[in-house]
Amino acid sequence: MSDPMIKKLSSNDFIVEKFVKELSQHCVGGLELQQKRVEIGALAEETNTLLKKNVFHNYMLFIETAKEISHLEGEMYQLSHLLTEQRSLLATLAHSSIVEGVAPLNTSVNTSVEQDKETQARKQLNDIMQKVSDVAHSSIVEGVAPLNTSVNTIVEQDKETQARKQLNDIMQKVEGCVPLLDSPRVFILEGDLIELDPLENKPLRRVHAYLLSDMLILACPIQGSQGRYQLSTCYDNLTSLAVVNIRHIAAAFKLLAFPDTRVFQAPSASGKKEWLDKFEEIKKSNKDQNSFQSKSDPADSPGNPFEQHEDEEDEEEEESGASEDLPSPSPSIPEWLQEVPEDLDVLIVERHFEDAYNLIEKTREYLNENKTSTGGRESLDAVFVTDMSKKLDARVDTLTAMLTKELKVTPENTRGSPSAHLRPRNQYSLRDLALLISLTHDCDLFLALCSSILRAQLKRVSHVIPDIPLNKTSLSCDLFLALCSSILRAQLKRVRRDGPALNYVSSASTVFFTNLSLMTTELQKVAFPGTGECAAAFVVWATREFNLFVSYVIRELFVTQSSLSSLSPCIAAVSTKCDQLTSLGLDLRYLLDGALRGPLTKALKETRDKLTDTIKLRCSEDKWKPFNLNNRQQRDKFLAEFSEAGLASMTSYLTGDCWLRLSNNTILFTRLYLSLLQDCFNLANSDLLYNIEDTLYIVMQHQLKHVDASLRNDQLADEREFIVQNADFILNNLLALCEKKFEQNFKFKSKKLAQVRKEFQHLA
Amino acid sequence: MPITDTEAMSKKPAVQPALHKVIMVGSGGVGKSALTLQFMYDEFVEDYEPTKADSYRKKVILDGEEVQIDILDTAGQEDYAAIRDNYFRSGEGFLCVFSITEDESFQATQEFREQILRVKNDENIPFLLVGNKGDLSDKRKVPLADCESLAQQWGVPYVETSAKTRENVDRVFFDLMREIRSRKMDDNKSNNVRGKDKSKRKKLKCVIL
Ligand SMILES: Nc1nc2c(ncn2[C@@H]2O[C@H](COP(=O)(O)OP(=O)(O)O)[C@@H](O)[C@H]2O)c(=O)[nH]1
Ligand SMILES: [Mg+2]
Repeated sequence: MSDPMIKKLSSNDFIVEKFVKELSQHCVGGLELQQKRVEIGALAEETNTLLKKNVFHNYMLFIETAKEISHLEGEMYQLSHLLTEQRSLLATLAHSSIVEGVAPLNTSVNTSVEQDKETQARKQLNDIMQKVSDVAHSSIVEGVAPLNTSVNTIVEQDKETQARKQLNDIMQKVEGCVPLLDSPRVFILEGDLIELDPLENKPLRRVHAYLLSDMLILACPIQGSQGRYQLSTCYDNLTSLAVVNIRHIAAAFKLLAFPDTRVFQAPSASGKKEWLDKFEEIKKSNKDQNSFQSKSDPADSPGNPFEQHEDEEDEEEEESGASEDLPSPSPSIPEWLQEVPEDLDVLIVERHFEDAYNLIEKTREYLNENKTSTGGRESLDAVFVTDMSKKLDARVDTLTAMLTKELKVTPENTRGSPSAHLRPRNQYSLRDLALLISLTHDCDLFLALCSSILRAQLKRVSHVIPDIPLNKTSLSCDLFLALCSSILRAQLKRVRRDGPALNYVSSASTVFFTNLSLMTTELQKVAFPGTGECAAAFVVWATREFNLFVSYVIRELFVTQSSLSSLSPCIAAVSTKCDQLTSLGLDLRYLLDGALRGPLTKALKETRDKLTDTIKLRCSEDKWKPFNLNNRQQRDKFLAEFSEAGLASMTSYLTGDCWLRLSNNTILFTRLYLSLLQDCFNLANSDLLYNIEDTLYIVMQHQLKHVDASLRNDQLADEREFIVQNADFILNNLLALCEKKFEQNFKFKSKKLAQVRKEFQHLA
Repeated sequence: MPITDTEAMSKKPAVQPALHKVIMVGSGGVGKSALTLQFMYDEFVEDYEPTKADSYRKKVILDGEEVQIDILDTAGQEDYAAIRDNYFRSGEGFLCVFSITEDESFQATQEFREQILRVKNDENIPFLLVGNKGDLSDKRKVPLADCESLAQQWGVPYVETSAKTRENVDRVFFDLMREIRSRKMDDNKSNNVRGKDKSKRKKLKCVIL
């Protein structure tokens, strides 16, 4: 191709007519003209390829740039966040004298005491939560909430009546039921199941099952009367009932109680899981029975509810102040109330802010309600009430100051080291909240509770100390984010790890990204609309949480040498979820890709080694004999499998009815390679391309080397023709298909696949 | 499960193929689940997930005859003896697995064997001692001679497998099924000849004149 030609064609004043005219003048005869035409055609082609290359090159550059920008943006946010922190730090310093007035608090708390308190607090929180959910439950069940119900009236007794009511319900619904109220059992789970024939797996009948803490009741529906059952079996020793998860029938499980084997099917897989989990839980809690019994057992008092009432009152004396107690109908001051100030001091010093907050709320409410006499109840002593209110107010101030201190950089902190403000914030201020969340199984209820606690705290922070010019927005933003962290982490912790990794990863990503996007929306639209500094803090926060999340995922995925086919759907799941965040303006994909690069490269390499080992092993046993498909059914299934994979040409290798002119080894390799290719597609991001191509190259090369060696092997001289056929299949069907797929997927041709083709083209 | 036994043993062609119930026992991590999954689905699981108690069933051709195998893959340990006994009772044959790379797992087989004998009350219960992870011969801790002598002492076959390379995987399941089948046939005969059933709870109502 002549340079002058290109120059002419690309010059600005190029006119087609003129060019053609010139050409026809210069050229002598048709032959020369044709020659010119070929030249121009070649030129066109070359230009085309050049153009394509350029587009691709620019595209890659574009992606790189976009990534860089994302990085930069992150850094800018980080900077902006630092600046904001600095500013509030200065503000705090300026007003340190005020804060310092409250500062000297017990910092050298005995750890064991703290731990004791912590377990106690944990217990109490648990109690409270249970009560809250009971109330929710009871008001739904009974439809009527007593008018003057307050936190104070929620007592153990309620819980017990509740439990008894449930048991009574069961006894009423199930005809011929054994007496249930004779021991302190509780109701755990009920549901409809289908009993299957243990031998043939055919449905036998419908049953309704009740799981109690120490027995399993199976009952059959009574025809014609809805919701009524006839007792069928009662397994009253759960510690000998063996439960088996059936894997080959959907949603089924088995109970072994010699000599019975019974198979049941739940309405859904999650239903089955619930049954299995509950059985497991009961087993566990039975195992920890000692500790279980040492806790005060609410259900161990006898049947008569009136007697019981008196018992409660006696017990009240012994119970600790911080727990919820039965309000005495008498005007005498309950002991717990008298201890409130002291308890609060302890709680605050030990930084159980949530407990302290709850106790304050509870006390306030109690005082409010008993200030004046209502409905036959006498009022509290007025002097006591005023006194208590005063004490309470003082504690509120202390708590507020502590809370503020906790969340702001304290002057002492900064004096110590100049870079102290760069340290991660103290996460423990909301520890109790996190505890709370991790204790619960009712996520919605807890989220609601948390946000109400948070809201209340925010209110307090902002109105109790109006004259300290704290940066309110930033403070509450921090609080908000700290809360978000607790929720996120607690929820992540709850994701079960005992299933396949994919389950974990996809549940964890759902949890993480759903929460994150909720939180993003919440923050941007509801909590702090239009405040730039919060956005900065948020991005920094999101990045940190995301990194933590990714580290969980990585830890989960890459523990043992994990296979690509199990990894790839996991990675795909996370990536998709991650990309969805972009719609909210949060681009975390580059972080993900970055974090995954190392482990994925390693996994690719391991896979490559494993596959080449497999190939070597199989090749060493390769007899180069045609493959027998046994019967037509298998043959059709086989052909369908490969035509779906894009190898419809497999049909042309059939000979006879069920024989294939390819070796078993070739077939196995084809499967292996296609699945490897698919895995690679699923994993692909531009950072990994090199490794992916390399893996594909090496694996293919190994197989072809074997073919090559076999062709040279004199002992296999008789099989030469067959071997060549196999080689032809691998190169011209399998490899060709893979090259095509590769190009479709990545929009460019694989150099490495082309290279391996070149190296072995002579075989076919 | 009396129905099952009757079915499996009836001479006339049963509607349902015979069902052989196999239980995987052995300490955690020795590869019980890996063997099961390799046998069931031809796949090797790398990840270690502790099992609670999983059951699988599939149709296979045993010496030309279609039968069903039911595999109960158990956890390495069960805190409640009563529950464990219920698992063991439901089995007709046992693959007692240990890992040749772990002496503890080998030592633990003794206890499994005792528990099974106690529950089944039968010295001749179909039983194979299986040394798994044969592919890791460089990490071998349990000498072959020890394995063989233990198996000999118990009067059971010893087989080394690898759930990873699939070596001998089919063999252990099929060998065990053969033992179970021949046991059932023996029982059947002796039951027909005379009810000299040694403390067995089989409610056989076969009447062959
Ligand atoms: N190399 C090798 N690893 C195995 C073999 N069998 C099991 N494993 C691995 O050992 C671990 C435990 O296996 P698993 O089947 O879950 O043990 P189980 O607790 O007895 O069910 C898993 O990580 C398996 O991948 C084997 O034959 N060879
Ligand atoms: Mg297992």
